[in-house]
Amino acid sequence: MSDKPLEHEIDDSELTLNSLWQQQQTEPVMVDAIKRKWLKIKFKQRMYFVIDILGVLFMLTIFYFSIDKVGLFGKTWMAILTLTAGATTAYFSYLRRFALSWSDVGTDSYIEQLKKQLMSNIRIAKLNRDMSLWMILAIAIFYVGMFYFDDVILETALRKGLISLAILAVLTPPFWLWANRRANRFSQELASLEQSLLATDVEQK
Amino acid sequence: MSQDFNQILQQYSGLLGRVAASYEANHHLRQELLQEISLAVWQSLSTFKGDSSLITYILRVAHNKAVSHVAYHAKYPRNDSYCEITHASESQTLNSESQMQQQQQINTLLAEVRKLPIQTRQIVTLSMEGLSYQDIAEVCGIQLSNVGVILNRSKKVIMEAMAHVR
Repeated sequence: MSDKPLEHEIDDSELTLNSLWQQQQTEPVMVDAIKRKWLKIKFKQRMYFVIDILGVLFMLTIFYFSIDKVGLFGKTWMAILTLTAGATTAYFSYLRRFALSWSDVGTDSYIEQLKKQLMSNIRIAKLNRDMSLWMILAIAIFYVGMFYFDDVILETALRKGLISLAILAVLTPPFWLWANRRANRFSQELASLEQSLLATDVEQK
Repeated sequence: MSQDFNQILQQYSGLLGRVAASYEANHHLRQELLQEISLAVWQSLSTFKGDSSLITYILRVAHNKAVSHVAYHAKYPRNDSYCEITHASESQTLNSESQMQQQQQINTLLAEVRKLPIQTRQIVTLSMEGLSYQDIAEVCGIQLSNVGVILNRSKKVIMEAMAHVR
């Protein structure tokens, strides 16, 4: 195939098609509604950001006030949990930014970016889903370790451990379901995108 | 500057509406898509540096937003059963046979366009907007030589479908 630009000869039927296309009725763009929507989105984003920061600050506060009360094992374990919470928060903030973004690259490149983004979202959603189960194990190991390294007595470890596990028993199922739904939704989005890109009869003729 | 953006949005309102129509058959979702596209274009205008023509820049942003919409709305049915309204016909009064026939042709054209895979659909609609092959290649991010090949093939299919309506 030649790299030379193909001559674009417009015949009558093409002109009719173009004219028909441009005559279709469209809805007007409501500029004021768009501005209102943008202000609402910005407010929501700020609120999400504040909630995210408060969540991390809460973890850091617990970490700060407990640091002198636990040994090396407890400190390490709490640091890991705090870092995990921080990373999760950062990821959610990143996802929200992407949801609002726009792109002016060629659509071909954009589709590739979108596919990579969706694949990455699927992986992270699955990781979140599985992490919710690992968290139960992490809490159990935390209290067993605290008792084993003489940070707490058996009675305290059992009491606090059971309370923590009871809280997790309530929080984990909805979180697991939510993460699982996200993983399924991103998989569906990717499948839908790939389906829309597939050649149909037109391409094969 | 904001005033300029508003004027630009108003000026290209029809164009953006047609981009939305080529990706979404459902009336309510189409309105939602038009809002999303308009918001994306409105935001993007502040970074427009004039490296390309304004219309190709707007179309790149609009089509990219529409592609995201196609993926995101996978959870909704792809046919029109989700909503019975597919065309905003209640605001139009088709008072002559020729108008009704024209509307039917437009509906057929839209239905055929929506059947096309994304890239082909994009090329066909950009061509019907009057863009040159060079501009189409730029918006789609594909080789110039591919534009004509895909366009000729797909327009032939559309014309055949249209012929049945006449």
